[in-house]
Amino acid sequence: MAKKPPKDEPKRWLDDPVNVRTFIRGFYWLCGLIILIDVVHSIGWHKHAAFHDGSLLGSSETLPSFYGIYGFLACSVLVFLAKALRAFNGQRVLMRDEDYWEK
Amino acid sequence: MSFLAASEIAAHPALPLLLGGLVTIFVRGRYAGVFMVAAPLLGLWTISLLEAGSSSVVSCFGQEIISVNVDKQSILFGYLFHLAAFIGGLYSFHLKDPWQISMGLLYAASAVGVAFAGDLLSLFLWWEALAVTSVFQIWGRKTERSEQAGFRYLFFHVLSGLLLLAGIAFRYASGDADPFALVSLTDLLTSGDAGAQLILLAIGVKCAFPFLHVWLTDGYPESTPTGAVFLSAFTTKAAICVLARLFPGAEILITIGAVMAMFPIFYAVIENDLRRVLGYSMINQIGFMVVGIGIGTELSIDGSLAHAFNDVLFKGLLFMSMGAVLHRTGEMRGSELGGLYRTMPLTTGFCIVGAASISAFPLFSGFVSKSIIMAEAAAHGHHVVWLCLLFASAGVFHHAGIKIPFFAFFAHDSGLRPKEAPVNMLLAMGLAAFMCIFIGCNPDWLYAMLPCGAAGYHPYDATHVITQTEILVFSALAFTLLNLWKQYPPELKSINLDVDFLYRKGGRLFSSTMATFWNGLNEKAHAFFVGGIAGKFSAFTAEGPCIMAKLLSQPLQRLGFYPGKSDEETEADLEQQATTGIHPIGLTALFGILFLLGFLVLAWLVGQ
Repeated sequence: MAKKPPKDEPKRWLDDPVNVRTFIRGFYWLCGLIILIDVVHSIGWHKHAAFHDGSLLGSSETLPSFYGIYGFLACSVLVFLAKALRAFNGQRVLMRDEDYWEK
Repeated sequence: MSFLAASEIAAHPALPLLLGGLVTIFVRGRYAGVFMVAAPLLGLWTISLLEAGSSSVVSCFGQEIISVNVDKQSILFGYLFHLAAFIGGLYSFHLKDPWQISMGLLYAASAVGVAFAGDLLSLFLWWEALAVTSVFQIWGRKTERSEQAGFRYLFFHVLSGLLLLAGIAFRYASGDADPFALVSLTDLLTSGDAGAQLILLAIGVKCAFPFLHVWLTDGYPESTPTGAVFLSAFTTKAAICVLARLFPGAEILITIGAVMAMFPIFYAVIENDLRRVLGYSMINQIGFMVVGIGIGTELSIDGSLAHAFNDVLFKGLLFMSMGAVLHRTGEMRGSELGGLYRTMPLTTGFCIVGAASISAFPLFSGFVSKSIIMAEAAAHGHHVVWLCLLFASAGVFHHAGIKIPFFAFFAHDSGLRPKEAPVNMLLAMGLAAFMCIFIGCNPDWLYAMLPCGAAGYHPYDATHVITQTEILVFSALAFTLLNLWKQYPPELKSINLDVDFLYRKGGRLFSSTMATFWNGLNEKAHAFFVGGIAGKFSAFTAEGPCIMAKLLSQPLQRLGFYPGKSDEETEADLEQQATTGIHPIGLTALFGILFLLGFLVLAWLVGQ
């Protein structure tokens, strides 16, 4: 499947797994930094609410890290549901062979 | 400033593109590419001369048709479609296929025509032109698959045209004073007017409403590398333009839009063809626009129009970067791609700009338009819809923002080492990427062109920037962790069933049932008429004279008319004479006299 890359190819920065790990570690720090900024902003300044109707969603939306948690959960749910759409309990649901319509 | 009269305009704004399209039917080679770039530029200049409030009326069969009506919205879309045609033209500069070139320009002209249509009649003409001209971007691939996909695509778009025509007929029959006016039909829709419902359905097909969407995810991935860039720019955005005119504030659109924003992202995660992923992501983005139109405030509609403008640019940019990969490698399946950043670094960079824009990162174009719709949904108390849109925002980053660049340019090394994209493609991508960042950093430039100027909306508010960055970064975190934990669904050589299952299977069932029934009937009829009656008749005409002659000859034989011949000999003679058509003149004359006598008797009987 995968062809062999040419031998005399120069090595790129991302070709080294150590650099990939550094990149990912930097990304974790970024996540922490964003949460920190959100917390500081929520404590020190007035956070503009999206909802003005005093509902439960309206009051929880302004809590620090609401968006982070929602984003993380949404994407996890998305991935697991999508996987279930491919095949559930070993039974294919929506996934078919590539030449399904040509058969 | 303008040399055109304020009330009446001299030429249709789509004229430069129309002429370009007609000329490139005949022009071949390099020069055709020049027209693809020059015609949109000329068109941009004509749009800049237009003044809001002017219009053009033609009289046809005693009916006044408003062929052009200029307002802020039509000017916005006029600029947008010409810009898209220019970028698409630059991207396809190397094309040699005259069908794709001329039809591409005519397709752009049709979209401009829809944007400027002044009533339902002129809208219908451009609407049909949009359907017919666009399909050549799919057929241009010249494979059996693309041919069939093109026909399925055309089926939906012809259906849309027929629905629109039926809706217009109902409007005409309703007896309204001005049945063809391009004004809000929302009240009529809520009161259950059949005309308004049919028109909404017609627009719904072109907007890719749920269950009517498969033409998009079926057709676009089968188009040529350049064709998808044209297709992604015009049809759906022209439909959004009409939807905003005809159905602002129709509540059903909020639900439809939320469903459109939600369901495609699940498909996008498990889809292998990366341009099909973009197709699903397109429906997801249109969902946002439909919600904005459904909320129906001036600000939310402005948000939808602004998002349509931005979507043409960033979705075009993503389709261009994938088109460049397809152009260089001939491959579009995520399972077969990967590691292309090594030799296509510029395309990778442009793709990432498009991905950041569609994901609505601050400083990129999606941020300044999607947020208007989100804010309006929240401000008008649509809690569930708001949660859906937020889910969809995280999801779109997941599949269009990360998956597209990751699986094409990074992920595992496919071993493919294609050349960087051609210069004209790079220029087109560069221009689109520049526009994405420019609008993201200068939203007021876009807001000033909106019909209501976005009513003083400010996207760069500290809360909004922080929360938006947070949701995106944590979506990326989920992607990263799931990938590291091997939970992320791998790219597999596969397809996924969509609602096309219903009509493709249904279509096959219909055609096989019809074939069995009608072919069976045909065989029965053949056996009865051709084998039965006709066979008997033919046998009668062939052998009848012989039998008749034998019958007549028997008494004559007895009377001794055939002296010196036995009965058998006489019969054999007569048979030979009858089958070869040679009778003695006397016998023929006898039959002739009998025949005429018969007529005489018949005439006498009738005369009585």
